[in-house]
Amino acid sequence: MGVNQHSRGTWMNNLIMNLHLLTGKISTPGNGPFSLTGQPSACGTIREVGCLSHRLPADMVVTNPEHRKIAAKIWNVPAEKIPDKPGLHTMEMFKSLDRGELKVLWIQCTNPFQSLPNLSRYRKAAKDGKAFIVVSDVYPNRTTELADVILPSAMWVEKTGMYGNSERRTQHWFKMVEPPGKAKPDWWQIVEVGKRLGLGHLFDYKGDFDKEVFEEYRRFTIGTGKDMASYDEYVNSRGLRWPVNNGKETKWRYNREYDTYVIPHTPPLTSPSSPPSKGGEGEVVKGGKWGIINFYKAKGGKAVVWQRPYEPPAEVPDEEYPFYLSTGRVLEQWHTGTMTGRIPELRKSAPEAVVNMNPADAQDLGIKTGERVRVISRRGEMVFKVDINGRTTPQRGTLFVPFFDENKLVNLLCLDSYCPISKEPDYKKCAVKIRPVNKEVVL
Amino acid sequence: MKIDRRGFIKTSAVSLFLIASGKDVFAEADKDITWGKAVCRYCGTGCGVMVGVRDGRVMAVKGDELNPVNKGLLCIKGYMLPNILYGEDRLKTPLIKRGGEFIETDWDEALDLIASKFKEALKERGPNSIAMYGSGQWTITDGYAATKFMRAGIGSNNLESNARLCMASAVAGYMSQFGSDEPMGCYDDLDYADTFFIWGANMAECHPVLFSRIQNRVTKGKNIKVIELATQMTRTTSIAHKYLEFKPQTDLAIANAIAHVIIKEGLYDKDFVKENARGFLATQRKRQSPSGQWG
Repeated sequence: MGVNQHSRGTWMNNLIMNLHLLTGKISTPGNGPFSLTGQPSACGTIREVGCLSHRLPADMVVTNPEHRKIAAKIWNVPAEKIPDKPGLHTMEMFKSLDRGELKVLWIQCTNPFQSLPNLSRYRKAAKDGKAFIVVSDVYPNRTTELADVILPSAMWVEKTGMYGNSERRTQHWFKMVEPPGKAKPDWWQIVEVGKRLGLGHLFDYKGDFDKEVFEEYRRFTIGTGKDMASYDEYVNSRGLRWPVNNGKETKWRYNREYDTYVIPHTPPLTSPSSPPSKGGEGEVVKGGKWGIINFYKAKGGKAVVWQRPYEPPAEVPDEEYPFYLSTGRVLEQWHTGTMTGRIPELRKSAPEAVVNMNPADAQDLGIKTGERVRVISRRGEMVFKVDINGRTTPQRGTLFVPFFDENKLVNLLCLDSYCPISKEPDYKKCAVKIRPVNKEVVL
Repeated sequence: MKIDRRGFIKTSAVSLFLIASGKDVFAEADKDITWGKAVCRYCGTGCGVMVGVRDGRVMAVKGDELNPVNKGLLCIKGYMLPNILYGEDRLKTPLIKRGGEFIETDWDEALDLIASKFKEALKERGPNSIAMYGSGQWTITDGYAATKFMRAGIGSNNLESNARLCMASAVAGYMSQFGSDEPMGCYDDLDYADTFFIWGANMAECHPVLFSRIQNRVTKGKNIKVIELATQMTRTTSIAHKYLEFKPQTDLAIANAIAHVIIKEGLYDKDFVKENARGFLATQRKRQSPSGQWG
């Protein structure tokens, strides 16, 4: 996560992938860059279906008129309906909330009022009631408490679902138990609001909703190199890695031995993102050293080696705030703890967020494990117990605190500056100072 | 033998995520239980789970041995999955805040109220005053309904998700270099690689099942090397043959420095770069220029 949550996260990704390109160690068994994802369908739903402000399904973007046309056709709406500019990215969305520009914000299946960086600003914006906030979730958390309406959601095997994991594998499961009380799937809630707004026709599927939706989504992917299999193929397998052609999954993309897109075939590619770059029909693609690699989605079939310089962090420790703070995760608790916090065995093994620090720093400051310290940034402060040589041993001058603990909102200390290309905030570096609590003067 | 409290927790947590699927443990309990395949609810690894249901209630979860992702393994969170459904304070009914209190209501009232707020916003400020913030835990059905609702229905691209906080930089990286998002390889790489660079990732805690797959490769393979680049020592460091600790943010310089050595010493794959990459010549020139970042 340190590579992505970085004020130059895109550059870091580019630089690592540069090394694979320079050495040719890519797209062959055992060789390649691999970005680990933290959520079960960050890939399958957010990246592939396109749930980011600039994206449409299958690598398409809202700024491309051709892509909007394709989407509008499948959705059966006029192409003008889809705006040609990206919407608000996450940090801008919550800043808009603070500026009073949003009237309605609907949050589903996530806990931003615990997880956002520079949290106090956005919690205050929500409390001030500048927008009508709807939150769909499964348990009360630090986000539902700021809602105007809370909707109870069905979760996991209480509904049929499909997830796409880090390795492009799409997997399916059937509903196995009834959700409790009146809880309903997130999609059902969206469709019901849609019906009340006269948008019922968008979801007028005749048969099995999950299957019909998936088969419609699949149309976006066919012929693009991101091809999904049919719904039934996922029902009957332990998942398949896209692109799936004629029921065959792809282990290594861009590699002729594994990826059918590298061998010209009929009908020709109709990628909406980029035209196929390889030779004519029937012609064997000329690759690199092995003659088998073709980055067919890149311009000219060639991947880009980028020059990306060094740039200092957005906030650097100084005399007043001499430490770096990094926030992150621990094994037993997952993200903001909405689910794992309900499981006694997990709660017992990681009951509260503690601060890890270097033993030499602790010695300098006369701090021992179990003592409490106040960690202070320019944006906020929070008291934690110290754990020296605990889960992590940070280098000198750095501290680590996990963010799962709803009673200790460490992210209110974090800086909300972000990578200017990806708009992803840097949770791993902000300047803080620490004060032993028992040495504080009580007035 | 004396084990202090922290030592005990560490040991138990580590051993728990290495337990195999526990087939025998479940054999007795299997009576009257219907098993179905599903995916773990937590991280992006996507471990296959077998979910056991009896009398309309999830009774047990075990690793799916037929799933190539985890081959029957789960981490401690995976084994504890059934209880995520049954916390005491589970939300079971729509709630509307009135006078600072959440009041129980039915679906019709809640949905009508939401729809009226949407209509009001559309009328007064237009589609851009509405936003939806979703999740990498949404199913494909949920996410597809959301994007169609917002873009084709409301007419707004204000659809985002928490994944922006998590992997947007990887998206921008893949897109800008390969013109297509997501990795070229897959988990099978973990079984073939002989050198692993773990860069800024605490896999032992955040992706335990994939971490155990690397551990397995280290144990069974020949001359397998793990090189870790990080800003702090973690449980992941325990398998690293080399641990390179860098000052926060200097990873940018380190990646450039590695490329510099590869180019300067002619270690790069000339044919591959010529056939499959663009921008390399400019990179080389930059390296040779006195003011260049690579020099």
